[in-house]
Amino acid sequence: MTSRRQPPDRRPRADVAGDAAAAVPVYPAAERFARAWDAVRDGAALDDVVGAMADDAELADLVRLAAAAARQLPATVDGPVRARQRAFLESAAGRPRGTRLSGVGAGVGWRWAWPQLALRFGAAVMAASLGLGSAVVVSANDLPGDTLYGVKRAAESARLALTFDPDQRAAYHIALAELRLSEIRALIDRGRNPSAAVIEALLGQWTAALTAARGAADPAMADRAAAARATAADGLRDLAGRAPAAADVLGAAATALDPPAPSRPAPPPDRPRSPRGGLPSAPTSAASMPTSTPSTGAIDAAAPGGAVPSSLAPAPVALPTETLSLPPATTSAPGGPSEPTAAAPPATAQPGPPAEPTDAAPPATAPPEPPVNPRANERATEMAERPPDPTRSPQRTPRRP
Amino acid sequence: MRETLAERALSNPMDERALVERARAGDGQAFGLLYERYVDRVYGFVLFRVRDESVAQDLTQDVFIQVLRGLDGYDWRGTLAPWLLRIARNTVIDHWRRLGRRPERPMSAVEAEVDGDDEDSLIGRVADEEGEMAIGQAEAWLDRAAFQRAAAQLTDLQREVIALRFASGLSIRETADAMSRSEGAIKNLQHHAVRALRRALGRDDGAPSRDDGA
Repeated sequence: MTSRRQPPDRRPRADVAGDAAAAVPVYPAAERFARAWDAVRDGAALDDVVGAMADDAELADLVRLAAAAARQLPATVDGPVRARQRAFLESAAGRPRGTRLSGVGAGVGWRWAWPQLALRFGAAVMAASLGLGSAVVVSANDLPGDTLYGVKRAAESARLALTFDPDQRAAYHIALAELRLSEIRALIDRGRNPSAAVIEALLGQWTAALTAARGAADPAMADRAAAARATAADGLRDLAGRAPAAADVLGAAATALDPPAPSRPAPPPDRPRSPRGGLPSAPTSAASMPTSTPSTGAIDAAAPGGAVPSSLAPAPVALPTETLSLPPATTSAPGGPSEPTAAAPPATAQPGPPAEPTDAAPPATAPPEPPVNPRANERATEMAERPPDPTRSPQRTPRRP
Repeated sequence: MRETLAERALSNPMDERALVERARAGDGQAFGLLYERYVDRVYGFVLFRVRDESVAQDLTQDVFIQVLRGLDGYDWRGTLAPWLLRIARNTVIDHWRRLGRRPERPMSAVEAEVDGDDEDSLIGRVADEEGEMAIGQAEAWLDRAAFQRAAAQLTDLQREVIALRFASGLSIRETADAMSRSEGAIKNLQHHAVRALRRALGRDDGAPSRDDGA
């Protein structure tokens, strides 16, 4: 059915009631529609409102369309997801004030939280460079010992538990691995003088994340994980030179990733020399790296609210998310608006003084402490048993500015 | 509908303020109640914008994490809704930026006037954009999928105002606060958006809509 539209008075009027202070003049049809829809929204019967618009069939149709949109568009978060999100948020919100949101020092409060979010987007850009879809990284600036570090790790756990696609999980693991490395770099760059234990734990988590990424169906994800592993050695050596307390650990990790070519012993007289001059296996002192994803359920223990329901959880992945025991960093940051936006300028967090590790407030369900350097020997074994592929060169993931 | 709209749109300001204060003081359950009060409105907005349930769930959690972080500095203005939805709006924008996506369609003339406040241009361009429309087709195949397909043909601002006004149930004032625009601009924008939606529905024959990067 078509109608003949009445020629409307299109001249907008700035003195329309209720909009005298509007910056933009409202044209009459828009004003009339707004009033009609607000009447319906406030409880007036749709038929009554539309009936009062007999002189403008098009406007009446728009109001009906708005009502249909209001019926169809509202959505409800799925029950299990809702419960999990609420549990996580209640846990994060319920921590003592001094450890929940406020940093060390008076009046830090939200002014400190805001630049943390700004730097989060830097990490998210890094995550996007790895081809992530919906996975979101919380923050690259929260470091072990910071008051929000536990929340950050819990958010990672929650996000991982809600990611079901194997390739997306693998991509997220790779992003988390990069985050762990960036945390190591940040601890050293900011003069926090991290201990060997802290670095060992982060390295272990980095390795575990890259191992977990092998669960992807897409072989490109496994390649990315391998590339991340292959390109880390030089960076670790550089960091070792700048972190005296953790130099041995960083150096050992770099060596494990990129072992020097061992000297070849002279072959026995009765054995022909290998045409490629094959290398002997390095001595091993631990079990080899597992080829399947371990199912310890450690990831679930880190998430507030307890274990993930079996209906939601994919094969659990051992990704320790415990909060490392370091004192909160003392940071100062510029003030900002009350709501975080994408236009937030980068933070200017001040490095805190070096300190010995102390107990920080754990998340609501504190996971068990990881074993020290759980994978160092296993990594060495894996690298020794798998000769480098001469046809493949390590690829660096391009970083977007 | 009367009860659903009123129930969804109204929240007791006094109760909500008390919840905010308790949440600030470290009462996790109070924050959980705030979450329950607003999660569907946030989720509805985000889902309409990103059209992917799992992405929308992730981003919804992001929104509440940001709310938790910023709660200490929030100035009470009668209701959390505009602030929450502004955070949701920014979260969606940041999501598209992370993915390297650009606004799906150039701004329409009305949206340009929302920014530019040019009265004469507004009159002329609205006249140019109006065409003959079939009245009465609006309610045909009005399920969510039809709305989503039609919304793909709208501009980013149009989708945003529709999401805030109809998916989240915000008032004009709240929508204006969330979008940092005047109430007059929102009125013009929503009218134009609904008209555009209606045109898109009128052209919708069930075929997949143009992929606009979502």
